Amino acid sequence: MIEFTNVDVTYPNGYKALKNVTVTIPDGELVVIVGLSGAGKSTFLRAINGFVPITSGSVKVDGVEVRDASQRELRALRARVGMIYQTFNLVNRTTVLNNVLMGRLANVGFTRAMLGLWPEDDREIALQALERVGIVEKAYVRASDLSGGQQQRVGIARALAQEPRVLLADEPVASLDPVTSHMVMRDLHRINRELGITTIINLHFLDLARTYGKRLIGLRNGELVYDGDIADVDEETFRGIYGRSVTPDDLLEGAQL
Amino acid sequence: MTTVTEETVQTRPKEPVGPKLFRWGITLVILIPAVLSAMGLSITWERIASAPGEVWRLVRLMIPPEVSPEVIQRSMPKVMESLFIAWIGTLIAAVISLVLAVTGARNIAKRWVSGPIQGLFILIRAVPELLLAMVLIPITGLGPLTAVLAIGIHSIGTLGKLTAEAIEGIDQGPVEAMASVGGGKLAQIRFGALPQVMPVIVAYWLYRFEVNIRASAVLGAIGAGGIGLELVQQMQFRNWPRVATVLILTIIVVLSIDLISARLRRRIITGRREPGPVAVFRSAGTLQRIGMMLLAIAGAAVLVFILVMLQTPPENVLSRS
Amino acid sequence: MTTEALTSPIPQVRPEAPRRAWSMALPYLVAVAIGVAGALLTLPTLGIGWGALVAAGVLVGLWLGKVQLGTTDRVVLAVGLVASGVLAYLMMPEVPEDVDVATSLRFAGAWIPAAVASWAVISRRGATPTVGLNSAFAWLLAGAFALPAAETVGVLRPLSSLRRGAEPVFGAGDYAAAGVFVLGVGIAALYAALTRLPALAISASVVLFTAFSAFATGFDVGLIVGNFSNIDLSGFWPPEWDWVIGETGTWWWPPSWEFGAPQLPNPLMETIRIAIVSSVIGCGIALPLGFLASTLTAPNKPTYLIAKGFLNLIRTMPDLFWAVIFVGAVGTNAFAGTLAMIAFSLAIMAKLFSETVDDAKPGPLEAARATGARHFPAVRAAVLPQVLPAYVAYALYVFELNLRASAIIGLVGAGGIGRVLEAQRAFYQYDRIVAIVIVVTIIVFILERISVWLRRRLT
Repeated sequence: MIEFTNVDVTYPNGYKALKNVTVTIPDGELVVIVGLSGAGKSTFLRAINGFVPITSGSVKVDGVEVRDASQRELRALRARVGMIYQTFNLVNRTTVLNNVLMGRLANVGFTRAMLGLWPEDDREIALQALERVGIVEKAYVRASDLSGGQQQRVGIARALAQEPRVLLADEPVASLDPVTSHMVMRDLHRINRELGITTIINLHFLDLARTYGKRLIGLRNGELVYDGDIADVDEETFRGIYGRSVTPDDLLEGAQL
Repeated sequence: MTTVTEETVQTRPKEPVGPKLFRWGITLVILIPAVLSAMGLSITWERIASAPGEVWRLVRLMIPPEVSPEVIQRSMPKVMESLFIAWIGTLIAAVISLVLAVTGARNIAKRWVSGPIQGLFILIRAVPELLLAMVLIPITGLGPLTAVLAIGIHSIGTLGKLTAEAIEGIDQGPVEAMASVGGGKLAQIRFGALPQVMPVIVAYWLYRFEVNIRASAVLGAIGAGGIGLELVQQMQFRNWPRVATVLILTIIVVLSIDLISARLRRRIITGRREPGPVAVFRSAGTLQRIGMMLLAIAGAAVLVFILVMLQTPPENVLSRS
Repeated sequence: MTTEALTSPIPQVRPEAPRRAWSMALPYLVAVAIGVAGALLTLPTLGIGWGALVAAGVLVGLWLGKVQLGTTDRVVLAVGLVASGVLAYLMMPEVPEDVDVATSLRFAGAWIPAAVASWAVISRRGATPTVGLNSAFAWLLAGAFALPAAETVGVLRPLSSLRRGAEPVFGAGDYAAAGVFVLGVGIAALYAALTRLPALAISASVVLFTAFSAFATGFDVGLIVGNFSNIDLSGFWPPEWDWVIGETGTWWWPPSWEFGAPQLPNPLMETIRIAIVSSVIGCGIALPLGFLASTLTAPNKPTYLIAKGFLNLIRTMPDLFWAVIFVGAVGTNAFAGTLAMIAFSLAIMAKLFSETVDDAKPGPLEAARATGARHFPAVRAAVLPQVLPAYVAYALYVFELNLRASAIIGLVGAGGIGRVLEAQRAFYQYDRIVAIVIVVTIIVFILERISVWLRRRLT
């Protein structure tokens, strides 16, 4: 359960990224967040795992207040929250398996982690995570030798290896072509359904949101402007979120909604 | 909706052994000679354990450093001399290495020209400055000139290699553009190749100047001018407070040159210009033009005269050292 | 196409071509030349004569360079420069031995009026305060260094013969040298600020510094050519191979792990051993230290500042100076040499390596920290694989440097081949020195080729 209560985020340069946002996301839900760039989507996600400190209000993850968490508590919280990035953020020069094992770092002792001696159990978890996204045969290939879609699946596997309760995906398909975009979204959808992991996805493309989402949150200039079932969304709602009509640029397939 | 797992049967690959073996192999190749060498140097645990104490004892002897005006007036000109030596050495190397690198770059020169020149760079680089200086002493005598030549020659190797690599890494477009408008080989290099790499090359020169200051300080140890001799002599007298003064002076000078040079290098690479008001110029009349010419000639004549005066008695130059 | 179509409706103004620094070169030289000529020609009793000539030179140079200047500016400059000229003349010491810190500072003080005048004129033209202050600072700095520089250089002394009846010891020659220095730097800074051409100040300073360096080091092309024409090679050619190889012929094999007689090959083996041990240990310590000294991977700001400061400090020390310290501490032996080379390679390696870490991609590190990892394990997993190839390449480079440096440190008794070199040098056995130099060169060359090959394989 993730609870946002009257959350404000103001950056050191004075930019207000989130204004008085109140949202509750129950366990196991798949939520899609849409909005223009700069609307506060990334800030919303990063407030959940404490990468962006909130200015006022309260963010609680499973009852833990993120702002008041000690270093140790924050690490424990981050271990429960997996994150997926637009640019994958993989270590290119090492193998896929080593990248996925990074998800186990929080559970491995300091010395073992520094020496790279991974316990057998953790290797098993990492390999299972790779199997879940279907690229286990690439386990010992260098991450840079994979295609963009495969790299994003490694990113997902890394998050899954954390055995997380929450999955945050920050524009996971923005760097991918339409076909692989669909495959990655399908993976995320399936993971949410099969494992019951709360999944929050930032998206730019409206048609993808409509195909895979259940609940939609619309942000505009840091304010919450829509929160409801994605089936109820129409052209008018999008105008409210984007401040303009839908254009082909907002759609993955480039067709009208 | 289909899922990937349902489509394909996945088999876990075996962990390849190659990289692991390679890693262990490299580790052994490094560690075994290291351990053997350490044994050969009779490095024992007692010695290692006692080393920090010995160093601390020496530091205690050095503190406080002797800062009498006499010591500073003795050492400071020597430090400055090291600076001068490094500067001239770097300049010589810069000019010669630029010419050699342009003729030795593989994308500009023919293979039979570039090959020997690149080989020359490698060969020069292999001889340490100090050994060069030892060979040069019978020719140029004990004095700063030997150090200048040793540093100059050695730096040709490193600068030449770096410069040639920079030239080899250029974008061929401008060079071909110069060729397509009928530019000769020289025009291609001057207007096509050099503008691209000159900032990088100048940054290398500055970097080499920093390195050469240290080198010229060392060369003093065999009497080739500079601060090194002072250091070695004071060490032989076991006059540790004075050694400390020399060390501190050297560190201050090297550190300040490093800081200035690092800033300059960054500035050269980024090419930033400070904003400011544009200068106001007036246009010149005919009379002013003629006056200008005459004055310029007169000024140049005075300078030439002074320079000629400077050149006449070379014995005077030598007798100073 | 009609003419109307060709000429655009809006009248276009061609911008004036920006002025290049070299267009001010001649006016600058004229200004300095007039000022320096004044130093040579005026009589000692007429101190004001020099100041007047300096001021005239500067103003004529500005006029030549077509720099627009108001009457007030001209007056301010003239007054400042004349005052400085007079003061500098009065403060010039009579005897060269008197040049010390106090006289230098007093001489610098003489240029305060010129500095103030420069600052005032530049500021009146609406430049940012730093530009004016830089120019003022240039006058004062040059003033402070002029006398010691003139004394070190000394070669202008023969010019005193120009001025009849002048004291030849510290006369017009040194005076002119100091004048060249102060006027060269000060006028360059003033002109550069007035014309917004910083290249002028930079190139003028470079030329001046070069000229002074050339005189101070006695660098004279004619002299070198003259010396080379009468080289006597018999002293050090042919190399004395017999001595290097040794009478027994056991030059290399079997390798001796003991301390041997102060001859080849044992000292040579010792040099290689020092290089190997110190490279391994130095680079080993540099790995964690490099991470601490990078903004990306330091755990916090104080750690970063301390590590970075420490590295910058130990980096300034030349290799031989490390050897001096450790020989003083643990005695004249190879152990001292090894410690010195460890310190030396640590300094270079950690600096190079921390800069590579700065350039590593921050994304993976953030991803690792987002999994709840602690700082150092996250760095180990996300940053180390990125920088490892560069680390290996630098380590091999440091090994090359160490090999060359450890051939030298024996000079101060820190073991290795340098000890033999120093002994032979003391007896002017140049044929032996040449032989050793050739052997060392060959070994360094071979090992360097191997490490270049390895580097190419690994990256």
